[in-house]
Amino acid sequence: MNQTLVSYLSQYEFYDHLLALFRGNQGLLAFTIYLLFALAIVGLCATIGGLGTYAERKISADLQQRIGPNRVGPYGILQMLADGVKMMTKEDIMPFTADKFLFYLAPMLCLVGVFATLAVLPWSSGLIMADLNVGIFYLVAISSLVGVGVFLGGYASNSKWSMLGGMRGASQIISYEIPVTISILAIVLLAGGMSFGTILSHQGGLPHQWFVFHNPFSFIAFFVYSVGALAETNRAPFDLPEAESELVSGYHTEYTGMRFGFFALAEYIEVFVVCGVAAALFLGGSNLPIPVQIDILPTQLVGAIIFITKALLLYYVVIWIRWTLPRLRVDQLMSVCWKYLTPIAIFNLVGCAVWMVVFNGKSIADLLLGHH
Amino acid sequence: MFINFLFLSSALLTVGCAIAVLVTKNIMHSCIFLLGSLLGVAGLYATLGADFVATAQIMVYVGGIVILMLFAVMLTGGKDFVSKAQNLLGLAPSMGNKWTYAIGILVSIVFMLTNIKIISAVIKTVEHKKTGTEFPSTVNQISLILFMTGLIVMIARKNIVAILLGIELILNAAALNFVAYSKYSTNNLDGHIFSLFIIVIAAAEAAVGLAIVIRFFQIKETIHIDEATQLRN
Repeated sequence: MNQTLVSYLSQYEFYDHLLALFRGNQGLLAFTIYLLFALAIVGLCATIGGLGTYAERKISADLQQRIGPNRVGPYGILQMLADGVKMMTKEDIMPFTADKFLFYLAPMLCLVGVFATLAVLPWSSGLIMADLNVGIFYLVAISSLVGVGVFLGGYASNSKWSMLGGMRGASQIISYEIPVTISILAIVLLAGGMSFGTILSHQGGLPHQWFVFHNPFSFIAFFVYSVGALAETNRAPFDLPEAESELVSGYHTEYTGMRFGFFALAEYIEVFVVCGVAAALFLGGSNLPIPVQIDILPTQLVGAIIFITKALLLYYVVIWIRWTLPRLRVDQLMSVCWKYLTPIAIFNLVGCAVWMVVFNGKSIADLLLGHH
Repeated sequence: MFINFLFLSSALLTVGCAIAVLVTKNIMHSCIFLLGSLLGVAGLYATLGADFVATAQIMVYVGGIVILMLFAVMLTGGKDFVSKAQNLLGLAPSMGNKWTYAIGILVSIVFMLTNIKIISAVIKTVEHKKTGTEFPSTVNQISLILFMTGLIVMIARKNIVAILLGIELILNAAALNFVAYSKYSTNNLDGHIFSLFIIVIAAAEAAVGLAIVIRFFQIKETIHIDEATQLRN
C-alpha cells in the first residue's frame, strides 16, 4: 500500500476523535481530509503563483534599477489581486476561425497537468497527499499534459504566431523531458526508490547529507536538472514559445482574460513545483538540520516551512536568470538539449551507478569524515 | 467506495472517448479523444493495482505518442486537406463512407464473437483453478469495446493517422487484458511486464508509422489510404 496523508494522520489521537465525530465512517473522513488538504494546497499554490507574478516584476525592477509596482497596497503587494480582478472582468474573446473545443480545452489541460503534480509534492515527510511508490515518475508523467495544452493552445488559436509558439513549446518540452528524467533517475538510483518518502529519508538536513553533494555526478545532475527544468517550464533563456520580440506572445497570443490567466497561473505554479522537486530531490527537502523527533505535527510544519523556503529560494534564482540571460535561438536550444545535456545526463547516470558499486553507496562526506 | 468511483469514471472515460475517436470528423479532435481514452485506461490500471504501468502509460502516451500524432496531423495538412474520394454520408473526406463503416462493424462483430468464445473458455479454467476469486468480466468488456472500436476505426476511416489511432486503441485493449488477468488470475507481475512491453512497442510503432505517413504526404500530398496502392512512387 502507498503511504497517504490519511494513513499518516491516523497514528495520532485526534484522528480517533474525528472518526468518532464521523460515526466511524472511515471513507467519508478520508474524503473530507483529502478535500480540505487539496483545497489548502491549491489555495496556497495559487497564492504562490500570484505572488510569483509580483515577485517577477519587483525583482526585474530591482535588476534594472527601476521601482516596479508600488501603487496598490504596501510596496505594491496587492498588485496581484488587482491583476486578478482585471483578468476576471476582461472580455473573453475567441477568434472567429478558432477551433472552439480545443480553444476551451487547452488552458484547462495546462492547469490540470500542473495541479495534478501537487498530489505528490512532499511538503514534509508526513504532510504529503499521497506518497505513491512511483511518486517522482508520476510527477514527470502527469506534467507532460502541459505540453499537450501548450501545443493545442497554439493550434486552436488559428494564428501563425500561436502556431509557431505551440510547435516550439511542444518540441521543447518533449526534448528537455529526456535530460530531466535521466537526471532524476540518477537520484532514484542513489535513494533506491521512486517515492518521495524514500528519497527524503535517505538525505539529512545538513548540506553534506544532501544528494546534490553526495558525489560529483549527482552534483552535475543537479545543474542538468535545473537547466532542463527551466526549458520545460518555458522560462527564459528558453522562453522561445512565448518570445515576445518575435512571436508577440506565442501560444497564448489570442487568449484574453481568465483563459490567459490560466496559462500564466499554470506556468508560475509549474515553476514552483519544479523548484520544489529540485529541493526535495537534491537539497534535502523538508529534513530538519537538528536531530528532533520527526513524527510529531509541529516538526512536520517546521519541515514544510523549510521545504517552501528552499523552493522559493530556487524560485528567486529562476527569476534572476530570466532577467540576466538573453534568449537562445531554436537551433541552439535543440543543440543544447541533444548534444550537451542528454549525453551529460547519461554520463551522470552511469557515473552514479559506478559510484554506488565502488563506494558501497557512501557519499563523499561519509568517505572523508569516516562515518559508517 | 473511492476505488469503485475511480473505476467507473475511468471506464466511462475510456469507452466514451474511444467511441468519440470513431465518430469525430475532425482528426485533431480524434487525437484528443484518444488522449482521453488512454488516460482512462491509465485510471483502470491504477484501480487494478498496477501503479507503474499506469504511470508509464501516461508518460509514454501523453508525453510522447499523442504529441507525435498531433505533430503528424499538422505536418500533413491538418483537417483541411482535400481528397479525391467521395463521401456518401456527408462526412469529412477522410472519414470513410457507409460501406467502410458497415464492413468495419461486421468484422468487429465477428471478432467479438470469437473473443467471447475464447474468454468463456478462459473463464472456465480460471474458475476451476481459483475458486472464490472475482473474475474481471467488467474489465474484459471494456477491453472488448476498446478492441472493437479500434478495429472499426482501422477499417472504416480513410485517414492514415486515424488508422494509427485505431491501432493504439487495439494495443491498449490487449495491455488492459494482461493487467486484469495478472490481478485476478495469476497474482504475479507477468501481466504488468507484458503491458510495459506493449506500451513501448506502441511508442516505437507510432514513431515509425508517423514517419512513413509524413514521407507519404510529401510524395502524394494526401494521406488518404486509397492513394497508397503502390510500393514505389
